Amino acid sequence: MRKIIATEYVTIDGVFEDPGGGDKTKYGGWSFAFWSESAGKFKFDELFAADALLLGRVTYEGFAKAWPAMKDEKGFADRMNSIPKYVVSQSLEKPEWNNSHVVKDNVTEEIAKLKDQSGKDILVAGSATLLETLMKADLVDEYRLMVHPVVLGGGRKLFKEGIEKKALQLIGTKTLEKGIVILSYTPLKNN
Amino acid sequence: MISVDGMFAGPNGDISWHNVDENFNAYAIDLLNTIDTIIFGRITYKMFESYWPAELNSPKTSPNDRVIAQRIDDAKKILFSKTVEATPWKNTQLFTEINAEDIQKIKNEAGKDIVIYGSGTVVQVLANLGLIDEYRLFVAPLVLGAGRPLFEKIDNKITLSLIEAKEFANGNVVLRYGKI
Repeated sequence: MRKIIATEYVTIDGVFEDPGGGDKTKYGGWSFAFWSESAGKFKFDELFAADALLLGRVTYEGFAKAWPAMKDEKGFADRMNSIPKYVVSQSLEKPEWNNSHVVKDNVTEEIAKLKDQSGKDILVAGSATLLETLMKADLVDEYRLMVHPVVLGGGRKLFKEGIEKKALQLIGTKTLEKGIVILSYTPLKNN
Repeated sequence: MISVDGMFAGPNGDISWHNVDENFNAYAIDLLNTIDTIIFGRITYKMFESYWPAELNSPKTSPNDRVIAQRIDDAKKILFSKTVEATPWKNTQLFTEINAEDIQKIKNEAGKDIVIYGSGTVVQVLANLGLIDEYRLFVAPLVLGAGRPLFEKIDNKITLSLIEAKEFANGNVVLRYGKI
């Protein structure tokens, strides 16, 4: 069975909104100062260990606007553009980004089916609303939080107020140069 | 201590999820060895006041806890509260307002470091005043979903420098950050 991995850029105060600043939000553009070669390698290895992206509409639209124009030597952008994308949305009719599929109905069942297929990891990035749905249905296998050393004081939180309480198990901590800490968790199974 | 989603207390001030073990206590003692003053808001002060002096006097207290209880009892305690009237707990100094000059004066006194436990409201005010030199955030392995965020009313973006990230066997991670 494939794993669903939520891989997220967050601040110390738990904000995930617009790390790169491309969405021009009030608090956006906070991640770049802490980018490093090891951060790049982490994201690269993660992307190439996956063969699908699972996104909510808002994150999807941000990505779909930015990625098609990107190109890099290592092939990260090519991979982002070619990899199958599943976008969960009630309103999106025609996804323009290459290799995109809309999941509209029976969302958790459809995603559970995706997990059952053979293949590599499925990555969720951003997508707080979708993450809440996935957490509620126990569909997340791993969380990777790249905690950036900044307190923003505002902006949308990754784990929304009112989300169901969830016990986790720490599986690793990795410190990158420039102060990002990657916290990895799996859900704690209560048998 | 905070949850993965940044809460220092759950609904109704619930901190039953704070997972403390002997490693944590050893870390707490190391920290207590470097300080001589504790800053509190009312809620954390009341919690400590009702717990630690009793621990100190109980024969059942573990050796580590006894050390912690003694250190806390001996430390100078700065309490910020508009409503507390009497402070019978020893070495307590009450301030009704938080102002930068008072804190700066305390910082300038000769002595060891000053620690703030819990006290989210006070942390927010001091963070906004730029008076916190170091943060040690114990991230407990759970998403609470509700409660009080530690960084709730921060006026301006605060960029910090990572000093250390350390894992504990019970799944806590301490993130230490310094002021830039």
